[in-house]
Amino acid sequence: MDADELLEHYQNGRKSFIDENLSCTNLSDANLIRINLSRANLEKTTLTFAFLKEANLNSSNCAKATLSGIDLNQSTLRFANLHDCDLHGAILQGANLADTNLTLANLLDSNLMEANLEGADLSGADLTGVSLLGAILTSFGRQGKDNPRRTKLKRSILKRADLEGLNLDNLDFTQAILWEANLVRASFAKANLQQAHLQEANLFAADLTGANLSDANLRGANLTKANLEWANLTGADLTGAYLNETKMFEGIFNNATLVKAKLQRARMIGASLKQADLTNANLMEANLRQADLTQANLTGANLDHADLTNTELTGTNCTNVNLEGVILPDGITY
Amino acid sequence: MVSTSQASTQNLEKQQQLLMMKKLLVAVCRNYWERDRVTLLSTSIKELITELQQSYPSFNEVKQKLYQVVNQLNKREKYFPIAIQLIKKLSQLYGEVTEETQASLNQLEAHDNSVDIALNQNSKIANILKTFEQDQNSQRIHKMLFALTQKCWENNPETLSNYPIQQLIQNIYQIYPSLEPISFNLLKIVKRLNKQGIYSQITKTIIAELAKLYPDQEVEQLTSLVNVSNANLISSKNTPSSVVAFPKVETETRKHNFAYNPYQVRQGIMKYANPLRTKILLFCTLHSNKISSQQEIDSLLLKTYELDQMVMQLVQKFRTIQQLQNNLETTAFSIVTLNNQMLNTDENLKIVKAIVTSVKPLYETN
Repeated sequence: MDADELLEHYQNGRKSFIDENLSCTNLSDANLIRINLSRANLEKTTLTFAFLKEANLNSSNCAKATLSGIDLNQSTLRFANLHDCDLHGAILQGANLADTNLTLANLLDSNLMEANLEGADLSGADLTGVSLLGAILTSFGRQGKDNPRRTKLKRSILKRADLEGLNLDNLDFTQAILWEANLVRASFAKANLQQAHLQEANLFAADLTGANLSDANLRGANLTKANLEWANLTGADLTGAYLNETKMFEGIFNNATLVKAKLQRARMIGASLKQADLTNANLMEANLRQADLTQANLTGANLDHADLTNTELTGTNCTNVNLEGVILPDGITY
Repeated sequence: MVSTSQASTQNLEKQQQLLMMKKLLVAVCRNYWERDRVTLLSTSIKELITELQQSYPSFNEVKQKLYQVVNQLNKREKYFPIAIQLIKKLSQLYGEVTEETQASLNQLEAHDNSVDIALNQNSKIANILKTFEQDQNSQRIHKMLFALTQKCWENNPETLSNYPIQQLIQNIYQIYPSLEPISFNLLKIVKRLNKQGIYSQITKTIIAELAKLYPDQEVEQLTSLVNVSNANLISSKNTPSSVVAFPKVETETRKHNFAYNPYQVRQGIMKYANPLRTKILLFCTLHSNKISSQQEIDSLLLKTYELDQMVMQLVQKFRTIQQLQNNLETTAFSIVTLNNQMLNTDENLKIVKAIVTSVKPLYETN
């Protein structure tokens, strides 16, 4: 079927085009509200600025389609193939994108507010500047807790994306780019953020309990009041990061770089900081009880009134450390 | 009448002073700095003084050694009054100088020292002031120092004149304990400015000068931070998609609102407007040219810009919200006539309304 035929049928009242082959057609600016294109072949089809509000594109093939500026508000696209398609500046607000294949898709500046992305594969997709406010990215499927449907975000690009307050527990963000992303109060419990690029990301009060952040780049990131309990930050770069009042109970920071990090009043009870570089870090009033600082570098650090009760300091470099009012490992105030 | 809490505070203070005195005595007698509180508590002053008298037969030697010790300390200001008290007491023990004479001598010396420190600091500030005033970018330096201390941008020379550079330098010295937060905050300000290249250079000058107030700081590393930012700026010019790594609100013509949240602005626009149509409208308003074909929309052209970045460029371009609105409306109508893809005037005006509503707070001065 070509574009003219479809438009003619649609204008005559036909809404259902299930299994139709519309590959390589141009339907730009078309008003196709509530159209049913489920299982349709839309490969390499152009739908720029098309109006497909409340449309049904379930299981359709939209691979390499040009869908820039398309309005898919409240549409359903479950199991659709959107691989390598162009969704630049598209409206996907409230759309059901569960289990879609969005690998390598371009979603630059698109509106994904309140969209359902459960089980969608966004690996390598460009989500720069997207707003995901109220979106669903993780939940448990019908099979229950044993078979959760998780959005895949491996190597995705989320520069300056807005993910404030989202539930991102258990998701895979390996090597994802999240520069300056808004992650305020987002929940990343047990998420995989290995080698993720989180430079200057705002993680204020984010929940990173048990998350894997090993070798992640968190330079200048804001982690104030975040929860890093049992998180693994082995080899992570936290140079100049803000970790004031962060909960780090039994967090692993071995070989991490915390040069000039702000750790004022951080709760680091039982944290492992073996061979961590804390040069010029500010640990004022930090609670380091039972923490392991074996062979850590504390040169020039400020430990003013920090609590080092039962802290392991074997081989720790304490050159020029400010120890004013510090509670020493034996419980005595310096 | 002294309350119980006051009494206990005084008691604590006395204990603290006693500990500090013991630390000084140990340093003079045994040539090392004792940090262990238990050792200090178990060592009696009497014991230390006996040791002192054995090691230093003359009062002058003790006095000299004590000054030497205090001068080597980081917190010498804190330890000077303790040393003075100690010298006062020791002078009686050694019996060489009368208490009054020694006390006045000590006070004089202490005064000399604090005057020295103050004079030294003042002369440093005077030198910095001189450099800043002689700099060809003196006015801009003034604006940066103002922004650093007052947390807002000011272009009005009259307002700036109420905050002399010298006073601002003193404020900075009082507010910032080290050079690092200064550099960081300066960098943050620069990132929000139009003329980032010029202001990065100015930042380097400011850091280099202020470093005189903060000895032992890693100036090179901090100025290199600015260099890195410069490098980013230069490289970003080559890749339009990353021209604005950070939201730029400022400008030299208008006060800027530091409480700006780029995510909220974008959200506000996206809720009511098509993001791609918004980008087209913004592109045409910013570049005074039109996108007339499908190809241009599909092409990489608009993909090299981010919505955030375009909104901020728009804010920089127009001094008032009215100017901004007028220009957007003019573009909204003009692209209707030229481009059949943008025929919907109502939608274009809806976009204008969404943009204006979202950026309005940026024009409200703090």
